[in-house]
Amino acid sequence: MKLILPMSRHRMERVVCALLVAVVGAATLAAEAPNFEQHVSPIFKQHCVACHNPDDAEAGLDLSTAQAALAGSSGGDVVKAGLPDSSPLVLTMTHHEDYPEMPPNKPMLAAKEIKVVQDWIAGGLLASAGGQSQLREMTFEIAAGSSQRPEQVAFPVGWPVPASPQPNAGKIASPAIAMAASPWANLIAVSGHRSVSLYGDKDSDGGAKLIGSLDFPEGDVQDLRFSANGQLLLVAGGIAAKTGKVAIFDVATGKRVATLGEEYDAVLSADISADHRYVALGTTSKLVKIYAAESGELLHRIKKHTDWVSVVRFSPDGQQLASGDRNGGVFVWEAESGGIVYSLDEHKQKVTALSWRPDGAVLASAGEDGTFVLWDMKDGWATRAVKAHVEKALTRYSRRTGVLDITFAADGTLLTIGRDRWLRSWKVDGQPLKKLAALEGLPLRLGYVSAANRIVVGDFDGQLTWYDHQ
Amino acid sequence: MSDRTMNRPPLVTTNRPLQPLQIMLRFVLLLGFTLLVVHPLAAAEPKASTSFKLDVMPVFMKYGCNSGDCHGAARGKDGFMLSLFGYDPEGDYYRLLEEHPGRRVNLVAPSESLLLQKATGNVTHTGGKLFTEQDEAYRLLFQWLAEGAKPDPEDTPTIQGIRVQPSVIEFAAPGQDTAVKVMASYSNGSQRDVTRWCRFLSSNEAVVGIDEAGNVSGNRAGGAHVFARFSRFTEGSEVVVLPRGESNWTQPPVNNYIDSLVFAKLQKLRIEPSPLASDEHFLRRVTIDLTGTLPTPDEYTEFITSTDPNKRSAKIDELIAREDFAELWAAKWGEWLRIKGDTNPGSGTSMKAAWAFFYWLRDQFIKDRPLDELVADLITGTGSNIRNPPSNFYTMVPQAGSIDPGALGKDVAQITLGIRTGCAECHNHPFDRWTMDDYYGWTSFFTGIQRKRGREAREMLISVDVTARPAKHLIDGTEMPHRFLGGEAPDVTDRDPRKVLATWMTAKENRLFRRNLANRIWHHFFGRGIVEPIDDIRISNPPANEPLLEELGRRLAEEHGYGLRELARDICHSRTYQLSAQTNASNQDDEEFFSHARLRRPRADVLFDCLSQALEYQHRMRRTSKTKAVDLFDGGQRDDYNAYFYSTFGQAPRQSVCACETSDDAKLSQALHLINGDTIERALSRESVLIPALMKTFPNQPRPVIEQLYIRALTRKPSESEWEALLSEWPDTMDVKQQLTFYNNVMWSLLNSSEFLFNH
Repeated sequence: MKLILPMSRHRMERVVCALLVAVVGAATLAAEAPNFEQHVSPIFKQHCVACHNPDDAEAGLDLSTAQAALAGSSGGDVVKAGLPDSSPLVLTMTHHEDYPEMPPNKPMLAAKEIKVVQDWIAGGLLASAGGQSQLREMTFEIAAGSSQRPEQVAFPVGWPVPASPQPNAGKIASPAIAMAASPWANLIAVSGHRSVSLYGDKDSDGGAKLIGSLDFPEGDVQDLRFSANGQLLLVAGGIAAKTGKVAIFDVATGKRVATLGEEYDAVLSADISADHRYVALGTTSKLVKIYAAESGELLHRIKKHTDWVSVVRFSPDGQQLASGDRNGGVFVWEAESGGIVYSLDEHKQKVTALSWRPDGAVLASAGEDGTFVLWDMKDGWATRAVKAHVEKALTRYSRRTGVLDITFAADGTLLTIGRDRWLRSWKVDGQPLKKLAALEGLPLRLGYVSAANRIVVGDFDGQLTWYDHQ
Repeated sequence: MSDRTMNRPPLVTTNRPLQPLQIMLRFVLLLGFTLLVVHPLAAAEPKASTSFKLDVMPVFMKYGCNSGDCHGAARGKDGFMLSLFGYDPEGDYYRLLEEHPGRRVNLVAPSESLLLQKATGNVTHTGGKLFTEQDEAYRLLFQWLAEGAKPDPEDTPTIQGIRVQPSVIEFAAPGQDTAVKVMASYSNGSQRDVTRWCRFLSSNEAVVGIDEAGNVSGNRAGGAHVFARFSRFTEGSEVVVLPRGESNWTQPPVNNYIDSLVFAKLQKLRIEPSPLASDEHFLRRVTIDLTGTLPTPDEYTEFITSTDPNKRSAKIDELIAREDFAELWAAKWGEWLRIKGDTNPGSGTSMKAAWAFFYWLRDQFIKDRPLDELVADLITGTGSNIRNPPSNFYTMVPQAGSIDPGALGKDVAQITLGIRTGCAECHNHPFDRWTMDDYYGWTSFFTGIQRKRGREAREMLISVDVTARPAKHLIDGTEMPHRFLGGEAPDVTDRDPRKVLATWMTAKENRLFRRNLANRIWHHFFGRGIVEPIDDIRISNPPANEPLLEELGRRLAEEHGYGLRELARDICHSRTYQLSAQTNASNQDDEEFFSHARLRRPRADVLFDCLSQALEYQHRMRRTSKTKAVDLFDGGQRDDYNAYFYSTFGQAPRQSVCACETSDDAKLSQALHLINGDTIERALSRESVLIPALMKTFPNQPRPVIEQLYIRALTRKPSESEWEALLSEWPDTMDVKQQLTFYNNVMWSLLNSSEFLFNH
């Protein structure tokens, strides 16, 4: 088996980036966030300070000053900057079952008051107007993410023209279970029934231009990934409760170059490292498996997740692998050794998607709990947990909360889709940027086509829709 | 959402003119036979679309996919969850289609859907192979998937109920069989044969069996019920299996309406009732049941020697009027209401509160307060629990640190209506009609109850916040407006919802309430409810004699004005109550139709009081105002002197409102305690007063002394053979000390006999 190897690291470093270096700062948000002195203290004075004061600090907690509140109780921190919903202070106020109810034997505080406290925590625990934010500053230099562009961008050439008709106004025959955008070419891959179709840019009627398709007779396609240089396409899937496989195709020729995995259930997610050395896959057996791409040898069989491994993604440099599960667990592994780097515990429900910022400094995780979390990969710190797609159901039983996919655009902007049927964008520090589009169907997959600076959304009804990214 | 037609024709509409064949079919059905099984879909018009709720969900139910040990478990099974018995169709749709898009259904190649692959056993499935590609179930699921697995349109009819036909099945002999047919009716007025999709169960497999297709077979003579479950509905048919041979029923004399109804049932089942119990047995039984005490030797002599033909009635009236009657019922209600002292002072279950509550109850029974008023006082109890004792309903029933409206609602339903709604907290009740909507609507009555500490530590103040929000539905947090169980949704704006509730509950026409009370009263006198257990009244646990329970409830409410004593009098007057425990060939297997008296061990406290009384001995007890165990205001557990006796003999620990806490089981530990324990030992040997006194009255005369002991313990005189055996052990040479030992041994034997330990 011969894989097309990407350019060497040495070569990569010599690529000169012509793009401007932009810095997006986090300083702008402080202005609107509530502060302790003006907003939070009056609430605490009314409801909390009778027991939590310097003289009679119940549970070692004093809520009379911002400084004291930040010092925490005898049980540790009660507020975590940027993470209102996992701050014990909020959990006691919202009567979370694992925490004592506060204030004791009294009704819950008004939703309005709780919101002030939550916003204070989310906004960086400001002591007073213009005070020092406790949030970790987040910046992104575009240049860092653009340095890996290959000299030759892979694009399908001479693929057999599929007999099937061109999709009508972007409508494909099956739900967009899996979708991937080429990191460099104006190209997306979308799952079909035992097949994958590749589409070029949107055409005049808003539909997709079908370029070619390839077979995946092993079963249904669950995940699609382009390699970091865009030369390879990974197809993962299989027959549920029976067999699972990962196939690797050469994008330029459409030829299958490798087939990996010996699973007993459809592979849920797979990815290939930037240097093409490793293929990782996640399965319903709760295992993360790392294969040697070249030899097909199983290198690591990581048993740590407590539920189905729903998503695996390599870091841009291929050194690390992030994986998420159906129970909300996220881990980061060292690709070469399979050793654990971080255990990232913030999601309460299934992790639906993981995305590395192009510079590899931040990992974004998205979950059915409706939030996404931005993890600083320097130390595994959860810098922000953002309620991105949380909506109260309009009718009984219907579900409108959950982030279904997340991806970074080249400029570090975050893009998300959710069960509330919105496409949204977020600043590099997690601050809301735009509600880009209200979607008709249930969106399943999201792709960012950097070559055209466009966003593609694939939904449950098989609709592919393109949006321009500013 | 979808472009297909929204009309749904598969249901047979009833509005069309009936064809002759249909008319004949209906006629046949009316006769209770199913000559022709109409397939639910064979009867259907050409289908435009398949419905998730009406076609797919029944498959999940029928094949057990959504049962508690499969995907219906709280956390699902093998990664896939369905709502238990389908309480949440929209959630099930979501989990199939959208929870893990692309996993469970394949809209491009429907037959490759994991749903079908699993069900047909083509891929590994813990639940095994459920059906094949040829089955109707497969066809339905496939068709639904092939049509795009669309959610049901808004105007999809809902199921309104089911009817099992025939409603009464009578087998002339064991070994016969027939089939039931189940018709579901829908909100658009249509009907459909859903027999194919029902699950069936029998209330007594020994008597009648029912298979998965609804074929009913009579196994042995007796009466039972079979049930069909479809969607959230359970309905039953009564089955009677007659014994082989001819009936030789001779109508026994009838004392009152109770006998007419009981004997009608027995005649149908060809069970011959036992004869009337003897005067001695009657006297002992009715005295224990009405007063919790034994007849005294004087009462015995007077009753046995009386020649008054109405002496039984006179005795009943005399006993019912005693204060002992009230004390016994206060003790029973004290258990159901969980009266306890000191267990949780922060919630107001202090000694003082328990004492006040118990003596308030006792007063109500002494005054013969109508039960509807008593219950209304409890439900609406407000203010200080010390000054207004019935408000202790809200300190004793919910004893946790804070009041959980859901748990309280469950308890109230169980005490006052005999209904267990607990299942419906998390899913629709699988074997009854209660849904989650019912549960949360009921819970809403209790969301505003507040309990605050009073001026002193033992005092709690009960109040109601009339602005409290209704309870929120578990699935989606929707506020569920106040709604009576099985009733309507009243307007409670600015009113104490409990008052509205109490008015509904205690209304004369509230059959749930009056039947529950009647059943509880009946249970006291027979050791078995007409519905058993008494606080688990549900469709799938029907009364052994429906007309009897209905009539008792009606009389209690409409004629006796909820007077406990009146209904107790009716019951004791009946011949049914006065039947002998001696069985005959036809009724020896009967445990539920009241064809003979049952042997019943008295409650722990009553038995203790009887022991004390038989020995004329005052046991040391925890200080209460009286000296009987039934007067211990918060139960016997804190009576350190005798707690072991009470718990050994099954006294309710008052951990819950369940009537099952009071046990009349016989256990080895009980026998051992009576043989070796100090309850009898102390009264008989060490500190005996009765026998030395008798010996003084009748020196060296064994006959009168032994007779006295027999009457005291067993309410009868020794038989000839007993006299012979006893006197043969009496040599004239015995000294006083030996005589005392002799009498002690006699009494010890009597108190350890099952004749003493069981009310018969």
